[in-house]
Amino acid sequence: MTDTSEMDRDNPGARGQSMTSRKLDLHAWFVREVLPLEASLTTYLQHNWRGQTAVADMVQDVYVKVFQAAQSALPESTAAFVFATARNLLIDRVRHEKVVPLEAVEDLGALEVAADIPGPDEQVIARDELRQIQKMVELMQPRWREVFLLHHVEGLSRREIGIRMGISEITVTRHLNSGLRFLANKLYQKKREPRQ
Amino acid sequence: MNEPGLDEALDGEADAIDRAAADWLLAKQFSEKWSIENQAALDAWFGESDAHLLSYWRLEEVWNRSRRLKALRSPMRPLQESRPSRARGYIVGVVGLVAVATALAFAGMQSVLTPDTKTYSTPIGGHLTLTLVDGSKIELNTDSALKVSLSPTDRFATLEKGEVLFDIVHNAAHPFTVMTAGQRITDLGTKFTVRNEGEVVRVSLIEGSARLESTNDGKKSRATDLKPGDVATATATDLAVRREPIAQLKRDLGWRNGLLVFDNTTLADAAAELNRYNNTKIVVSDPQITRLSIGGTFRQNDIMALLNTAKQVFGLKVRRRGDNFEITH
Repeated sequence: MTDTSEMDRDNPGARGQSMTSRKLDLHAWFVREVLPLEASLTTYLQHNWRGQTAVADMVQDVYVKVFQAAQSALPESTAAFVFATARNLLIDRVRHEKVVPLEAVEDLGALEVAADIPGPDEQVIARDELRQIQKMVELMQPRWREVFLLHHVEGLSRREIGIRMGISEITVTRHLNSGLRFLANKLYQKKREPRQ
Repeated sequence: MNEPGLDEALDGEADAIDRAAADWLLAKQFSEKWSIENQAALDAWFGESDAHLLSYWRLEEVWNRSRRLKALRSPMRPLQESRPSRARGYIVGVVGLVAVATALAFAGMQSVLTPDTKTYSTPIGGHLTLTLVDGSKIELNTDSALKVSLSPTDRFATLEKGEVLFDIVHNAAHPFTVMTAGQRITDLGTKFTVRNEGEVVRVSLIEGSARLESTNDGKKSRATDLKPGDVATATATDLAVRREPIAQLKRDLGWRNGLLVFDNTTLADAAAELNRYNNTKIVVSDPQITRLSIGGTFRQNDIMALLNTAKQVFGLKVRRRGDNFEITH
């Protein structure tokens, strides 16, 4: 059995070491208010975009633009700001992406922020974290899941997991990498799944 | 398995960045010692594009939330009896883990033969059941930490915070002792809960009997034997014992099934109780409404249920305050 002290060294408190307090604010804001919008944002982009660029890439573009704008001041309404940014990005892409078919953006004039976008508050509350994470972990490919649980539940190191499963540490890392991205996409309700 | 490099070739831009961010994250998480040079290299990668930083933050958030899975850690040996419903999905769903749990439980049983101290803890909203080799059962409620020290001759636990149900198999030669906040509880064949509320320790005796004594230095130690139905409230200087119906004490154990049962409970107390299980808190400070009384069964994680009750039954207002909610008239 692994000593609990081994779990302690990967404590979340270490993550902020090199961050300024300004950046910590942005970090907290991004995690708490922007990320919970990802499902609605993805749906919004999927419904309104027929261009070449992958929706996942557009989501990332929206994040970057929102993040950069927030560096001078956090927006009053994060949801409104995120969707306004998405809308501007769509318009921008229509203008610049040469191969965009005419129907690339449906009814651009009508792109208003949907009234029923769940705010981050409700999403946070609706979330019973442990149960939700368990449910998503169960959807993982078996090997990703086994590696993920051996680390997060039993606290085993990569080396110990490798020995137990008879695979190399590099493979353990690859499974953890895939499992983590899968879980992130599931938790934030993206339709895409990472490849092995 | 794919050829190295092939995955990357198939990735979209966002996927490729996620993959790289996950690699950085894992390197840092598993590093024995994350040096200044390591951090500088990571910062340089962040410096290349804000997309790198944001992808990292997103995955890091998921990684940190996954730490909650630790609450599922196997007890000292596998449970023979059925677990509370909250845990059942896990047992059915993750068959692969049972073999692991068994293997680790074996190690756990070995370790009990020699003096062995382990600390078990639950996050806010967590719940953990332990079964000791002597058959005693221990359940940790939300946001609790219990240090258990077992040897062939001594059975000893320290409640560092929170609330724990002890269902102890009595052994007159080796009594089970619980220490918390200057109080010592010794089992005399018992089922009881101990709740550490900081200054105040509350012990509820459900079956059998137990002895409660203060261990504060300089005070003369008064031992009190508790009987079923007794609820003792002890501070450093005072001790009060009241009698509750056993049925009430069993209702108070609703947390074992993820439930809170309120019966003629004030709104302020109900909010405080719910707050123990959730990161998002409900604030009830308006003196006109704190004494309103409510009843019913609530899920521990269902803050909205109480807010809706306040709105719909009492016609109160609910407003957001930072991360929390405030109920006002």
